[in-house]
Amino acid sequence: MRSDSLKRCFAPFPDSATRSVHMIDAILPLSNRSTLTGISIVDPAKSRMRIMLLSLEGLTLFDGVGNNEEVKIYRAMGQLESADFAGALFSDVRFMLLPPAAAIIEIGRNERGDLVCRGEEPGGELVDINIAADGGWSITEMTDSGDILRSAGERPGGELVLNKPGSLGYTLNFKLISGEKIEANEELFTP
Amino acid sequence: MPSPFSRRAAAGILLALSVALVGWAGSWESIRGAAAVVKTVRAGFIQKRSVKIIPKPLISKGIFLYQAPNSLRWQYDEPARSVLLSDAGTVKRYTYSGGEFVADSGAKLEPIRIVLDQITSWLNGKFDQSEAFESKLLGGKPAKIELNPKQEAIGKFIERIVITLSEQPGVIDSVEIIEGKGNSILLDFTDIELNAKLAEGAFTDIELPKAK
Repeated sequence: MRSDSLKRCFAPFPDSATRSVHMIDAILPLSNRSTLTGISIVDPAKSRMRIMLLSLEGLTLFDGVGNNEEVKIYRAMGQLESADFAGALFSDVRFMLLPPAAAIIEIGRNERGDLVCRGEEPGGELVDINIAADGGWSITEMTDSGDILRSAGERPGGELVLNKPGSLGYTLNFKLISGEKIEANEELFTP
Repeated sequence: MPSPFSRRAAAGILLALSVALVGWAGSWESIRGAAAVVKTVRAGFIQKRSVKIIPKPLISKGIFLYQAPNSLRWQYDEPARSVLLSDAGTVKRYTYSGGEFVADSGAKLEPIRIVLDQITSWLNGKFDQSEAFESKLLGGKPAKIELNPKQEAIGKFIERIVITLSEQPGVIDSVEIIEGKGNSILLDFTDIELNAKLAEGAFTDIELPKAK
């Protein structure tokens, strides 16, 4: 029973390497808004990712690889050169596209009847994975006192949304252009 | 002693003859001469963005408008809508987001401003007068111009640019920006019209009136 529920909770996250192209609509602090093309290669077996961000004109704004330990920037333009930006980008994409590393401490149902798997991260943050009866899902990261740090999920129509609340918060809408399972090879993670 | 008119006429005939014999892309001078008569350009474009880590290029489409000396409209219609407007020294970009066009902040426009300055100088035929790129006129049919970055800061992002000239004087058929390592952007221009009357507000208005 528990293993079935766990399987359902982790079903939204790929269990093998995938390559996706998204159109990203970024709603940023101070009323800024940007549209970008995002290319991501996710390899859950090695917890590694390659992320490229392109302007609509095709210019490479950011290109880098990362795993749980480090992020390596291959190419970045202007404000996107900062290590803080790269760290936050990889953390957000990992949060959305890779299964959480949190240890599952509780499985149950919320007041709507959604299946909820609650995990605890090494830093003490809580992660709830919600699976609705219609198959929709969301993932929420909270402090141990329940304040939301960020959340992500799938909207009807397949669009992924990541939201980080607060005065410097932001919302990223990911519209899938193409997605496929691939065989991960080293070439995909080298510049 | 020949009159100034006849000297000018003789120079014109010589230019026409040289264009006829070696093509308009035979020298920087003939390229500048051909560009000088281009007052407006209206074209469609197909952008093919090749990235080493994806198997097929990303395709975008839109329209491109130019008015001499330095007004540009670079409009993407699909897969995402955006409009870049450059007029009288100001550059603005609007992207369609959440059901409306939203202006980008100025800081994000700096890299694209550099690109727009280059495009404007190419359309003026000034390929050989760039501070950022060293230009080489390559022979052959179609004639090509290769631009190599002079500055290390640009070389980090662009290995070289190859511009393919049309047989029609003053017309650029395509621009390929090669980033290196299998990554490039190819802009193919289509349905090119020179010196057509452009819609009012072409370089200031976010949306153009629909063609009747």
